[in-house]
Amino acid sequence: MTGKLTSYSSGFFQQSLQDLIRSVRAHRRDETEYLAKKFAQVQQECKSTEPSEKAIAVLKLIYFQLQGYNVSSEAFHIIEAMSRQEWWMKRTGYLVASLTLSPSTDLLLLTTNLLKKDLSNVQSLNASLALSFLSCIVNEEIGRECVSDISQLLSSPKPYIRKKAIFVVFRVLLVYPEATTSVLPRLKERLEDSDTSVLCAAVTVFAELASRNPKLVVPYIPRLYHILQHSSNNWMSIKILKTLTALCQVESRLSKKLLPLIQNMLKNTKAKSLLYECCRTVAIGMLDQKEVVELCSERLSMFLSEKDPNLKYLSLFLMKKLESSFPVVIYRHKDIIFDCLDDSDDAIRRRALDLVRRLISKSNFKEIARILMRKLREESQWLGSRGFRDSLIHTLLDAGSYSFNGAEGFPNLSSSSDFHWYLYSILHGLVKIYTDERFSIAHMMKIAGQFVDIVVRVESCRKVAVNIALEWLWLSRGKKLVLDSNSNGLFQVVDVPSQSSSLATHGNGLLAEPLLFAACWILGEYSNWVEQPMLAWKGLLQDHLFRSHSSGYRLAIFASWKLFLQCWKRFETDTEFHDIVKEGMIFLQQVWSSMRTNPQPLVQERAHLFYYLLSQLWQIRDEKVTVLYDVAVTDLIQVFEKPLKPVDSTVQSKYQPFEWDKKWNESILDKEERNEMIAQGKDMLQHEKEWLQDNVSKQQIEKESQKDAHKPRLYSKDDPFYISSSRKKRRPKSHKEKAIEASFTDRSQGLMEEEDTLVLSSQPNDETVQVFMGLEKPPLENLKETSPYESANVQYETLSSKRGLEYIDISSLQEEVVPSSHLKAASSRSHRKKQTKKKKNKSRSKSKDAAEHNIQPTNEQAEESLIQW
Amino acid sequence: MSSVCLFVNIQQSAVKLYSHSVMRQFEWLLKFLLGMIRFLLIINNHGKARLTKFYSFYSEEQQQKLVRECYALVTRRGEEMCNFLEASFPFLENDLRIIYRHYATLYFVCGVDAVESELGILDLIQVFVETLDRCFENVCELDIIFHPDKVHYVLDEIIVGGLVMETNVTEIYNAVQLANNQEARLLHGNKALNRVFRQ
Repeated sequence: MTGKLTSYSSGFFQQSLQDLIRSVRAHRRDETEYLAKKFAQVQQECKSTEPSEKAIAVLKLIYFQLQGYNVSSEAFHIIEAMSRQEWWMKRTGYLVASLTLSPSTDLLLLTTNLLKKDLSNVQSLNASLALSFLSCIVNEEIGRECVSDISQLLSSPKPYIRKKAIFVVFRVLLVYPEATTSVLPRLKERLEDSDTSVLCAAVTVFAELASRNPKLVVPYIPRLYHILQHSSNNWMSIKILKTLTALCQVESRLSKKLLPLIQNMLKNTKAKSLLYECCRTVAIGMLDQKEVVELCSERLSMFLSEKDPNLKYLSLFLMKKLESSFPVVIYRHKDIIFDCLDDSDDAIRRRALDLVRRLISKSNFKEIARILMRKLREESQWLGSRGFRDSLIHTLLDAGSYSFNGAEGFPNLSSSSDFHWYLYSILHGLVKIYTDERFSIAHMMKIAGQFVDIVVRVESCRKVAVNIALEWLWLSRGKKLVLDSNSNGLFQVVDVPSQSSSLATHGNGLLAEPLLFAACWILGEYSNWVEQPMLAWKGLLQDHLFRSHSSGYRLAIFASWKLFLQCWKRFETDTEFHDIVKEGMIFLQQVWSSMRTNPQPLVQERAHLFYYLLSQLWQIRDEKVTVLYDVAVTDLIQVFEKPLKPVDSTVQSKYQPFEWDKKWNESILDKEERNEMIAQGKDMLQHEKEWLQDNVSKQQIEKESQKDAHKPRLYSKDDPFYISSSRKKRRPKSHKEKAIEASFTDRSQGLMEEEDTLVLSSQPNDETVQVFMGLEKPPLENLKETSPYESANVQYETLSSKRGLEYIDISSLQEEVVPSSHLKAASSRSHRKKQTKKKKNKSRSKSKDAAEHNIQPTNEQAEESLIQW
Repeated sequence: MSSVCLFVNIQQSAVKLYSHSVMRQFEWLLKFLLGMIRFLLIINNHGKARLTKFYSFYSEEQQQKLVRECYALVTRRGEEMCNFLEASFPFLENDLRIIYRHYATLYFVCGVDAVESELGILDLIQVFVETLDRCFENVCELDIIFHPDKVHYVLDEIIVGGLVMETNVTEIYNAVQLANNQEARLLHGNKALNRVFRQ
């Protein structure tokens, strides 16, 4: 040692790692340049012939690695340090190598001999160093060379070496699976080890193996089960449960065997991490055991009602897993789930929303939608996270869409009042919330699409829809439609006072184009429902509906034309309409003529056309509108008379497609042209034939597939695509239906103010629910009476004072574990305000009964839904 | 020393041949390493990495990106929020779950796969901190800044190859001390080295 002391003198002035860090910290201003300078210096030091200087330089590489430097160029020097006999150099070398080298480093081959030598040196700590290194960096070559040495260490007398070797063997198996057969028996022996930490290591490795290749681990189930029974180490128990969960999916009998043990654990375990793991095992592997699912859901609800957000988050996750086979679980805990929607944590809210999405069904859609809309309003006020808001909108729109969760038809809307409500409260409500804030365009498209879709399918909604469309047009200009108090049921345009005015000045008050397109089309197509045509014309055609570069006015022009024809038709029977027609004609002539100079050609074209038609067919003479060509006008009206209907696909298949085959046999080109082409060397005939064959065969395939698709598809009453006029005629309406229909038309106006007056929800009785779930009556009351929460709270309080591997609350650790240190645990979790929660609970408890059992529509509902089709 | 030198020439020719197969191996490995802890980062409140340890293989760029993005994810979360995140990084193939804990000035961030127990990892971070506290006697950020090597030695006794080896603070402490003692014994009387190493 003393001899070496002199040789260190050259390195005496060398910076140590600490010196380096200190000097870098002193150069805050030019840190990057200084670092680069230092790195070059260290690279020089690495080349030193002095071993200690080299080792110290190598150690400094850690720091550069942390700063994002690629230090693999120094790999050779690192390996040199590893191969030194001096312990500290070796240790440094191994550490730096494990941090900086990767399995693809070329120079790793050089270490093979060194590793073999160090692995065999069990008495010193060299073997441990080599194992740590191998655990980080092992590739196939090294794995193949060293696997026998490592597997020998599996039966080393030192437990410390044994447990490290177990992990390294696993890593080797990953890169060199050929060794599995020879190593697995030795690994299995470790499952019998007397030392608990070695046992724990073995179990951990088996858990990993099970998650990759469950069949490999199946033979060891009895042993694992035995360990689990007698385990007092939570970490180990968790790992075994993980293993068994993975194995449940391959070995179906396992879940039954596990039942008593898991039940026992769920009842008696106090450590939350273990309890959670038990729940996870049930939720993923043991869904076929009903008794334990009940118990599991109880425990989960206990977690949910805790303050700890971690447990909330995790149990919401498991709830979702349980829900897939036991939907009743979430119905029972829906209050808690809705509370989670108000959580301050975005992650928890998302999870809760995920569950809420599953909760939605016919009978509770309205209530849930109301809650979600309220959340949405709050969110937009707080400018909450955009992602969550988007998924709220997504949930709402999804639930009302034509197909939802794979079901066809509108699964959550049945009676016409439902559709009224959906149009007004949800679609219109969403648009109103977001006039001042941009939706994502995808949402806009969806809203517009659904709006048109529903209105086309559901006749009774059209009146409401027309009014909504009108309102959108005015909303887009920052104005509002208000019911006039003097005249009955007529609207007045009013400026919106505060919110949108700022937007109007920015010119951003426009609704998105998809919405306006939809509104224009609806106004035109269902113009017979328009009560104030003048308002509609102004809404459609006055300035600033669309952006100046938009060709959207073409739709507005067409819609206003349709509306004019409708008005004329009404005038023929009702002379009161004369003034409207006259006023409209003057207005339209004026606007259309001004639009003939619109920069958009599409708009120009329409303006020219309809201006011409209008001035050629009608004339104002002596303050009276007269028609010049009677026949032409009646024909024109008839064009739009026939209502559009979504065509049933069976009807589509009857429709003979154009006979392309014959057409294509005739050449398109003249003979001369053809000859020219042939002269140019292009074999047109051949080309045509090939093309034709492709086309014909495609058509045939399509035809056949259409036939196949339609054969089994009998019409269902819930399928709104099925709009069969013949059936409507054949089936005389019952008195009840007539009455209901009449009531809708009467009340539809009232709907505009009171969205909820027309709830036609029928209460399915409890028995149907039970049959559907295959479960006994949900013991909701019992659950609350026995109240597991109280006892649980006591348990957890005692628990949190424990140390070790139990899941410990951070706040308790703060005082206890790191008391005097600088590293104090972060401030304890703030208590949530209870008051708001209570309020929400109240409002929700009202809706509880209705939402509780909401699985399938009863016959009454089905009948109602028939009426519209 | 000499044995290593002998290899140098062989290395230059042979390694190039091998590198292709090794790289293929490497890709395959990436896909296979689905399980386990992927990385453990210690980041301070200002986003500076204080310690990084990766159990899967990321390039230096990816490592730096991970540090930045993890910090961005973690820093905007309040204390009352849960300690788990689901993160998908565009530059990584698989989605990761981030489990983190915040102590005074430091975030301990752990990236794990789907198999690992969340609550278990949360406890593990606690164990790690407790052990550091014992090794450094009231650990603080400065200890971790100036002694990254020692922190790594501690970490190596807790996590081996991405799997959790030991969760008992005393056992970990003893294992680290055993190696440290050996170093101290061999360095005994060597003043120059002591000056360099045991500051």
